[in-house]
Amino acid sequence: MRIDWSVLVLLAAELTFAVLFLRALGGYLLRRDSLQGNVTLVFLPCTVFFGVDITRRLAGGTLPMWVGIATTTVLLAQPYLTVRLAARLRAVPQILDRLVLMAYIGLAFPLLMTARPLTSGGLTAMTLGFSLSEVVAAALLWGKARTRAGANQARLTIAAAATLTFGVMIVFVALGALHGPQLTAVSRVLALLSGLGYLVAFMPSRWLRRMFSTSAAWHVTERLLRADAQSPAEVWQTYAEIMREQTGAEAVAVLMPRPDGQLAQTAYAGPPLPELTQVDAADITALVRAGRPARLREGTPALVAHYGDHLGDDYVTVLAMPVPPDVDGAVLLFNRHRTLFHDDDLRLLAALGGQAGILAERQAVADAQRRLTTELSASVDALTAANQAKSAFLANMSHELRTPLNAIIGFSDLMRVEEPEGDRRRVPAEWVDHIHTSGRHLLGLINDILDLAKIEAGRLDLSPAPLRVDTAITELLTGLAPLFTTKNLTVHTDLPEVTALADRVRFRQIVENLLSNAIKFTEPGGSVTVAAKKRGEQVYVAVADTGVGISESDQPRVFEEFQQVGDPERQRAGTGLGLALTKRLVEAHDGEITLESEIGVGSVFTISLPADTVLPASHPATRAPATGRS
Amino acid sequence: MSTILLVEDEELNRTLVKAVLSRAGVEAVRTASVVDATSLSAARDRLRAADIDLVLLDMNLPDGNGLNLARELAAGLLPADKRPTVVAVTASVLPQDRAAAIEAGCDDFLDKPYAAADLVATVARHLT
Repeated sequence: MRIDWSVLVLLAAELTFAVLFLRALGGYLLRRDSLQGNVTLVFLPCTVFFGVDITRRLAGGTLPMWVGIATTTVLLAQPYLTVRLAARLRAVPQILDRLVLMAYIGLAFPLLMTARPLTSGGLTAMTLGFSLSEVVAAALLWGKARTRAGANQARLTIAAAATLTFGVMIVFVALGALHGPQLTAVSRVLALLSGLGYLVAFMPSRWLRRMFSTSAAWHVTERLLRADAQSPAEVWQTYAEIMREQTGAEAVAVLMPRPDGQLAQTAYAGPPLPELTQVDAADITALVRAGRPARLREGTPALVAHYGDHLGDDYVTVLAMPVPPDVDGAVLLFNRHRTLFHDDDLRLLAALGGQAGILAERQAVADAQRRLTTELSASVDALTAANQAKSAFLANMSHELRTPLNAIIGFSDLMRVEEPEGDRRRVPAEWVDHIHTSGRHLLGLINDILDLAKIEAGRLDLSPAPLRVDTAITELLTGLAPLFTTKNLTVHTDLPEVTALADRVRFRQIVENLLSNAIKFTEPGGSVTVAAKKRGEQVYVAVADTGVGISESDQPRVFEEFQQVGDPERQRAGTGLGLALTKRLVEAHDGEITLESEIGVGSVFTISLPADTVLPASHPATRAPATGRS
Repeated sequence: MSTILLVEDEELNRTLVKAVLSRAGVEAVRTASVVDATSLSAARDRLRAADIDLVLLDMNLPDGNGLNLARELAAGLLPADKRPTVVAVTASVLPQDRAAAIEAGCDDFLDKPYAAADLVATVARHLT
C-alpha cells in the first residue's frame, strides 16, 4: 500500500514538473524572451528525468542503460541551469558560476565513461556534487529575493526553497537507492513539494497573485499615506522611493506631462544623476505601448541620452501611470538585470501612482494654502510694521516740532511781560535771535517733512535736465562760504566740467544737505572736500570731511528718519530728516548714495546720478531747449 | 531759599528757563537759585554736592534718558530727607511717555512748549 501511495506522489510530482516545463516552453515560444528560455531550461532536466521514469514504468520496469545515463547527465545540469537563470537576475560572481559548471562536468564526464551500476562511492560523490550545486543556486535566488519586496520576494523565496528541496530530494533518492524504499518514499514527497513550490513561484494561481499584490498594494498605500510629505514634489519622491524598494530596481523615475505635452521628470530615486530636463513624449509613449522590459540601449536614444550612460543599466521598464482625472504619467524602472515575475506588481504599483497623484494634488492645495497664509501674515506683519513706523514718525515729528516751538513760545512769552515803554518793549536782543533761529529751524523741519511726504506719496515732481554739476556746486560753496569761515574750515574742490541729468532745485538741496552735515560735524580747523567726476553713464559727487565720523554699526541707520547717531551733544543741530530726505531725493533721480566713514577720521558721502549722455556739455549751442537751464 | 537743578543740554532752553524764573512773580521762584547740568553725570555730581529742592529734568540727554536719573533718585541715590522733587520737562507728550515718567518716579511733568506762566506755576507748586 505504501509503495502505491508513494508512486502516486511521484506521479503527481512528475506531472507538476511537466506542466511547469510546458508552460515555460509555451511562454518562451510565444514571446521568444530569452529569460523565459532560461526558465524553460531549468525545468527541462527534471521533466526529462521524470518523463523517462514514467516511460520506464509504462515499459515494464527496464530501459536501455544509455537512456538512464543520458537522463542522469541531463538531470545533473539542473543546478547549473538554475545558476544561469540566477545570473540573469542578479550579479553572480564568475567563480561561483565556473565552480558549479566544473562540478557538473566533473560529475557528468565520469558518469558517461564509467560502467553501470554505479558504485556507492560514485553515487555519493554525484549526490553531494549535485546537492551542493543546488544549494548554491538556491542561495543565489534567495539572495535576489532579499533585495525585492512584495509578491516578487515571496515568489523568489519560494523558488529558492523549491530549488533547495529539489537538492535534498536527490540526496534522498541516493539514500533510497542505498538503504531502502522508505527513504525513496521521502524523496518522492520532497519531489512533489519542490514541484509545488516551483508551481507557486512560477505559476501562482490567480487568488495567490491577488493575495501577493494586495499585500504589496496595502504596503505601498500605507507608506504613501504615512510619509510626511509636505509638497507635491515630496509625495512623488516618496512614491519613487517606494517603487524602487518594491521593485528592486536600480533607479526609478516618475515622469509627468508638462503643459506642452512633453514628459518631465517629477521624481527620481536612484544613484545621483545629472538633472533630466525632458524626454520626448513620443519615445515614452512607444515604450509604454510595448509594455515590457526593453533594452535601454536599443531604440530609445532619448532615454539613453538622459539615463543610460549614467546609470549603466541595461533594462528599462516603462509603465503607464494614469493619474485621475485625466493625466497620463509614466514610471521608468531601470535594472541592471532582468526581473522575474515583474508583471504582477508593476501594473498595480504604477496604478498606485494615481493615488500618489491624488495625494500630490492634495498636498499642492495644502501647499498653496500654507503659502497664502504665510503671505497673508507677512503682509499683516509688514502693514503692522508700517503702521508702527508711521506712529513712531508722528511721535518723533511732534517731539521735533515742539522743541523749536518751546524757544519761540517761551521767549516771546517773556517779551510780553517785559515792561512796555510806550508802544515798545525793551527785550534782550538774544531773545529775538533765539526766536528767529528756532523759527528757521522749524521751517526747515516742516519743509523736510513735506518733501518726505511727497516722496512717500509718489508726488515728488522732478524736472531732470542737463545740469552743470561743477557750476552748481561752486554756487553752493559760495553761498555757504560764511559758514566755512566761521568754523575755520578749509574747502578743497575737484570739479571738472561734468553734466548730470538732474532736477536743479533738488540737486542743490541734496548737495547742500551733505555740505551742511560736513560743516556741522567737522571740528574747527578741519577740511571739507567736494569732488565730481563722470564714470560711464554716471556722475559721482563726493563730499568728504575730516569730522567725527560714523561708526560702522551706525552707518546703516543714518539714512533713516529721525535717526541721529553718534554723540547726542551734536544731534541738536539737525532735524534728523536731512539724510533720509537726501537719500530719497537721490533715489528719485535713479541714483544712489553711499557712505564711507571711520570714527575720528571723517566721512565721505558719495552720490551717483545719471550723466547727461545726450550731448557733451561743452557744446551748449547745439542743445536747444535746455541751454538756459544749466 | 530753595535751589533748583536744571538738567538741560540745550543752551537755548537753559537761557529760557533762567530768564523765566528770574522774572517770576512768585517770590519763592524768583529768589530760588538755579544750578544747571548738561548731562546725567553732571546732574548726579550736582545732586551730591549741594542740597537740591527741585529738579527740572529734560529727557534727551547726551548720556542717556533723563528718566534714568528719576529712577536712581526713586531708588535712593540720596538719603530720603534730601530727595528732591522731580519734574519731567519734555517734548515727548504721548500718553505712554507720561506713563513712563510716572513709573520712573517723576513727581510732576511739564510739556514743551510751555508758556512762561506754566513753568512758573509748576515750580511754585513744588517750592511753596
